[in-house]
Amino acid sequence: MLLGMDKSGKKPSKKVREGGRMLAFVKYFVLIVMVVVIIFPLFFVFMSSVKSDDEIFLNPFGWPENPLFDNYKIVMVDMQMWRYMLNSFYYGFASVAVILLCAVTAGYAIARMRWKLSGAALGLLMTGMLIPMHAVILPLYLSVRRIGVKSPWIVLVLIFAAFGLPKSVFIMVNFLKGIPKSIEEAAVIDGAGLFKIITTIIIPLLAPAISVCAIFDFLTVWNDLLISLIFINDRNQRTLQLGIMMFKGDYTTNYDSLMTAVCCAVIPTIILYIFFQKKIVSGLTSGAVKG
Amino acid sequence: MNKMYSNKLSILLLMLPAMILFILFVPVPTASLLYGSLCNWDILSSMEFIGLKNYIFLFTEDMFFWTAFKNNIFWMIGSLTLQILPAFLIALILSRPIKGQKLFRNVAFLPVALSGTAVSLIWYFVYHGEIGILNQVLRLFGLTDFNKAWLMDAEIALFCVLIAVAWQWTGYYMVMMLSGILQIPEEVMESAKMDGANSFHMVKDIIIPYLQPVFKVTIMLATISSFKGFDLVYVMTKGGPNHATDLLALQMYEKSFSSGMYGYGSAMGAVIMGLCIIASGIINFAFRKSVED
Repeated sequence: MLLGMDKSGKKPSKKVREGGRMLAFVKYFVLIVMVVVIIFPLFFVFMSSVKSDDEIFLNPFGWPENPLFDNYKIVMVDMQMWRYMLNSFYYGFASVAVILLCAVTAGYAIARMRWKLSGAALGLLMTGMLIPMHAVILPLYLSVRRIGVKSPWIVLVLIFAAFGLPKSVFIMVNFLKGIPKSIEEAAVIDGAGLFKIITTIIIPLLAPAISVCAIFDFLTVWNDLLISLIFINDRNQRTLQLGIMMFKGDYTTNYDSLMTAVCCAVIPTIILYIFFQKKIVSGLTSGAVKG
Repeated sequence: MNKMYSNKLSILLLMLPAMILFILFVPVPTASLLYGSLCNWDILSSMEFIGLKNYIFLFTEDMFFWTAFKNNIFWMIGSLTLQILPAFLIALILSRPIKGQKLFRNVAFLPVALSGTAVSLIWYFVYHGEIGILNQVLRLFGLTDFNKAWLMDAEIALFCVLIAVAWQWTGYYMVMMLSGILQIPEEVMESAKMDGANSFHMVKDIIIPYLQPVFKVTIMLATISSFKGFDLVYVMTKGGPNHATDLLALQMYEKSFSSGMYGYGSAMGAVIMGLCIIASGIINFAFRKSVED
């Protein structure tokens, strides 16, 4: 479509053809450098995760002599990585559930219902996109402590949900505006109430928007560090990110465990990414536009 | 139908969960942040109103704040050049049919899905003085003299962390730009070609003007996230060596949660918030002509 493609049907001269070949070479060179730069560190971390500490030092580039998959057992079972993963799953799913519940209902009320303040309500929610979570984390921490609800199982989910909400409501409202009202009108004539309309008609129609929000919000929670760092004290409530970070602090010399822990965090994401590339790419980018 | 749509009780019930959650966790803490920043307040003493003293101290006497501020500005400029420019270049390459287009796009986007913590630890391993991949690669090429503990060198540590940030986020901006380029109507491209425009002119006269909205969004996101930068420096260097990689968010975290200086920490939080709002104002202003929405 661009850059030197010739659709005019004229036979390109030899010079142009050589220039085109040169350009193609440069393009592939750039792309291959990019792939190497991205894949090489990941590959290396994986290789090191099945080596012993000594082997990491003495044989950095070589294939592992006898891969120590035991490293994974040590990190996952003995060092409780499975628990951190489970915790992160919980925080992620619970936050997504709260966000979706609030965003679908509020999005519907703003996009469809007739009331004077609907524009103002949307505007208020949108101010949330301007306020960085980092800035207000201290007052949140202090008021949570004052109120006495300390359990991260609740607090973390509510914080993530509140900060994920504006973007999701925005996506829902936009999506709903593109859905014609005629389907709902037909349902009303058949005697369906509001609750029934939302659960049986709107939610299925919103499925693409819901999946975009779910992916975006889940990954935000799953990848968070700061909030968990501040609100989680108990070892057993740690998130995956907190868990892998601790390997750097507590076990500085155990590079094999550190690399294994990183792999435990990275490999599931990569596998999910391979299966859901399209959804993840569109989920993360469309959620960001206007962000 | 209309009756159902204007039923006050249904509207209330639908809005209530979202509004309660949002107001309690966003505007309320923001207000209390602003008030707290005007108080002398730490872990031992209670709140005492002192006006703008925290801000005055912050801007006039706190050396560490200025170090972090300077680092943050460097971080912002670095993020823009190391992420937006390569992203644009790669998006241009991938915007025309090329073998493996999808594969290259998806590989470029892969690091975006990873967590900042994992990326930090991967790059901690890359830069490590003894077992780091970077040193080993240099050694492979006989460049042993360049071997060093990259993150321990105050002169380059911040730049090294920035490379890791670019590694993670370039693909993100690239995908946004790529879909922007692919949305340019075919006819526009064709007619430009008919007029004899070469590749350079296509980029300059068609692609860049058409991509203004995308540039605006990507520049906005990169700028704002640079003021929020925390994860990578926290995990890789904790702001060291000797504050060389200190950032505002990191300072805010330390003042608030390690030193328990709540009033002062609030002032820093307010400054970060203010910078984000000012930056998005400036970017909106800069793009006011080229992007109408």
